[in-house]
Amino acid sequence: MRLFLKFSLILTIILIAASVILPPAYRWTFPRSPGPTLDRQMRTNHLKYIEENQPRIVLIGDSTLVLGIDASALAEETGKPAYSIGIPGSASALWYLLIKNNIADASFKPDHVVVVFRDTILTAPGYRVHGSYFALLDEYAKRNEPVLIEKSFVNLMNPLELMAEKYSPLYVSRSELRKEIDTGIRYFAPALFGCDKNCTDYALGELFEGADMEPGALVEAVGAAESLLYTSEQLDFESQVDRSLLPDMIEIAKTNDINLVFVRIKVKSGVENSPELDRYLVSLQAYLKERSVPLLDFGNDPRLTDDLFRDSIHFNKKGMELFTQIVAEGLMEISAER
Amino acid sequence: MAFTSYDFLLFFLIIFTLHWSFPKRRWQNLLLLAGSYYFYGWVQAWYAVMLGASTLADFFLARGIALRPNRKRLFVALSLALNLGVLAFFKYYNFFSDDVISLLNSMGFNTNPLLVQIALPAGLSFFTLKKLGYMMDTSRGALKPTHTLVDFALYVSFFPQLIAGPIERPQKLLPQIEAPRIWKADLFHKAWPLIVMGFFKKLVIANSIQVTVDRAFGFAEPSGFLVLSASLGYTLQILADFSAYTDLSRGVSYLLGFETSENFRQPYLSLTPTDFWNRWHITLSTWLRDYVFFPVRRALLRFKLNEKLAISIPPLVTMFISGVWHGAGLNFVVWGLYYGVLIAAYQLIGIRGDWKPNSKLKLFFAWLLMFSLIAFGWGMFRAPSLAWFVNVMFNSPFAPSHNEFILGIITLTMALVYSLPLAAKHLLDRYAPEGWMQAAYHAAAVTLLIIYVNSASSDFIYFQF
Repeated sequence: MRLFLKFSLILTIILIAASVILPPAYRWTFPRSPGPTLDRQMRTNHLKYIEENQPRIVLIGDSTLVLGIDASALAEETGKPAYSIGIPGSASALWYLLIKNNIADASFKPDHVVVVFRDTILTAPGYRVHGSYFALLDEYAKRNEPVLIEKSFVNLMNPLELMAEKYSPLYVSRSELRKEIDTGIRYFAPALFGCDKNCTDYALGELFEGADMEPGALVEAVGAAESLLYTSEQLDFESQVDRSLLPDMIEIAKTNDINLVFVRIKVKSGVENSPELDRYLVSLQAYLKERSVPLLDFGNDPRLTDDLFRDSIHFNKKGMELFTQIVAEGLMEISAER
Repeated sequence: MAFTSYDFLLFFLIIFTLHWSFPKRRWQNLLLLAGSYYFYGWVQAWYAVMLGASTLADFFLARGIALRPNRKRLFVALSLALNLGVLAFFKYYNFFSDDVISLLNSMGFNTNPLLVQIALPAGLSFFTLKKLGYMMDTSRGALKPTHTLVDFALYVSFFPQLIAGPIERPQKLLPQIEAPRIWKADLFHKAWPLIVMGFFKKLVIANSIQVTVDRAFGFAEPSGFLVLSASLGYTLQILADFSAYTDLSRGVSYLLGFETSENFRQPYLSLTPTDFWNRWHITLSTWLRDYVFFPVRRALLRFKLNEKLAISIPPLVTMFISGVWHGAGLNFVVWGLYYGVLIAAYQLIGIRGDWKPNSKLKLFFAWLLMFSLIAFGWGMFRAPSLAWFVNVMFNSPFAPSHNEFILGIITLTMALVYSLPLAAKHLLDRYAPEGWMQAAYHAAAVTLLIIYVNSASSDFIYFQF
C-alpha cells in the first residue's frame, strides 16, 4: 500500500509539473480540441503546375501509381496531356487534401482526375496519417481542416484518448517530447564519429528507403503495413463509408466541376478472392454508380499476371507499361461515353 | 485482442467487475471461461471452436485414464496424436505449402495459394503444451484429473495465459480454479507494478528498438557489423517484449485472484547455457525438462550408454524439440540444436548449470562469453532464414558501409539506452524494493508511457510461436 501511495504522490507531482511547464513551452491552451494542430504553410505546387500546364488528365495515388502508370505514355495513348501526383506513402487523407486544396482551387479544370487506389484504402481515413505521414499531410493542409481532423483523427480515438487530448498537457505534447528523446538517441553516437544531423539523416534515409531488402522481409513488411486495410472492420463498406473521406472527395469534385474517376489497381494482397473483399467491392461499385462516378476496377484483371510485379503491391517495368495501356483504354471508354 | 489495446481494457473492466460481483466460485469460473473464449475468438471465431473441440477431447481422454488405468497408454497416445497433429498441421503446413501447391499443380489441380495458406491460431503452441502436461501427469498418477469440464476448460483457456503463456502446470492453476476466490487489497498491490512494467517494457523499450532491428534484419546482404549490432538490439527487444507479456499476464491474473508463475529471472546474467534456460521462459524450460529431458535421460540410462553420450543426447533432443516448437524454419531448428550443443559441451567439460567461479575476473569472462553466445543465438533466431544467416556469417564482409555503420551505432546506442531502465529495475528490486526510489521509478515509467503511447501497438513477438 505504501509503495502505491508513494508512486501516486510522485506521479501526481510529475503530472502537475507537466501541466505547468508544457502548455507555455508548446503554446497549448487547455482544454483544447482533440486532434493534431496544422500549421499555416501549405504547398500549392500541383495547383501551380495545373494552372500553368493545363493537363487534361491528373492522376493521384501513392507509390503504386508512381510504379504503375507512366504519365507520358498515358498522354500518348489517350492523346491528352497527363500529370501524375504520385506521392509514396500517401493515402485517402492526403488525396482528399490534394483534391480540395490543389485541384479544386486551380482555375483550370482537367477532363479527368483519376484516383488510383487499392482495395479498401478509400474508406480508411486513418491509414497513413500518423508520424512521418502526418508531416506529409500537413504540407498540403490549410490551417483549418475540420473534416480531415474529425474523420482521420478524432473519430478514430477511443474515449480515453479523447479525454487525454482535451485535458492532458503531457499526452498532447507527447510527439514533441518523443521527438526530443529520439533526436538525442539518434544523433548522439554518429556525432562522436563526425557524422552530423544531416549526415545521419541522409544515411538513414538511404537505408530505410532503399530497395535492397531481403525478399521475405520485404513481403513481411509490406504485408504488415497493408494488414490494416483488411481488418473485418475495414472490409465492412457500409459501416465505413460515411466515416471516410470518400463522400467528401466526391462532393468537392461535384461542386467544382471535376470529373473524378476511381481506378482500382491490382495487388497481390493474399485476400484477392475473399468473400469479404468481394462484398466490399460490390458495395463500393454500387455507391459510386449511384453518384455517377466511374470506377475502373482492374483488381482482378487476368492480364496483370504475377510476373508483372516487383513485390506484392508494385508493378515492375513491364507491368507499368501494360497497366498504363489498360488504364488509357478505360479512360478513353469513359470519355467516349460522355 | 492485445493486452495493450483499448478493446482489452474494456473487456477486462467488464470481466473484473462481474467476476468480483459473483458470490460463488462456479459463476466466477463460468464467467472467466466465457470471457476466455470470447477473447480467443475475437479475431477468428473458429479459433474458439477449435480450442473447445480439442479441450473436450482431452477432458474425456483424461477421464478415460482415471476410469480405465489399464488402457492409459492408448488414451495418452490418442491425446499426443491429436495435440501434436493439430500443432504440426497449423505450424508447419504453410512451411510446406509451396511444395503442396506445386504437387497439386503437377497433378493437374489448379490451386489458388490463398486456399492453401492457413493462419496459425495464436497461442496454439502454448495451450497444447498445457494440455499435454495435464495428460502426462494424469497418466503418471501425479495428478488426479478434474471431474469438472468447466474447471478443466478454464485451466486450458485462462485468457491471461492463453496467447503466450506462462505455460502453467495444472498442479498450480487447477487448485486455484477449484478454490473460492475472495478479493484482497494484496492482489492489487502485487498486480499494479507488474502491469506498469509490462506496458513500459512493451511500449517504451521493445517497440522503440524494433524499428532499427527490423530494418537491419530486412537487408538482403548486410555487413557483419550491422547484424552484430542488430542482434544485440534484438537481444534486448525479445526480452523486453516477451517479459512484458508475462508481466501483464501475471498482473491481470492477480487482479482476478490467481497467482501465476514467473517466466524470467534476469536471464542475461546467466553464466552457463543450462543456467540461461533455468532463467529464460522458465515455464517452457521446466515443461521440456520434465516431459522430454528426464524421460530421454531415463531411457538412455536403462540402455547403459557411454557416459558422454548419456550426457549429450538428452539436451540435444530437448533443445531440438524446443527449436521446432519455436517456429517453422531451419533457423529455429539450428538455434535449438545450437543450445543443445552448448549445454552438452558445458556439461562435458564439467561446468554444470549452477556453476559459479570463485574469482570476479573469471565470473566476468564467464558472463561475457555466455552473453555473447546468447546474442549470437538471437541473431540466428531473428534471421529471415538460415541461408541468410549463413551468408552473413561466411560471405558478407564484417566492415560496414558508411550508412550501415551509422545505423549500426544508432542501434547499439538504442540497445544501451533502453537497457538502462531494465538494469536499474533489477538493482532497485534487489536493494530498495519498497522505497521512494522504487515508487519514483514506476512514476517515471508511467510518465514515459504517456509520452510513448500510440493508438496502435505491434503484436507481441511471441504470438507467432
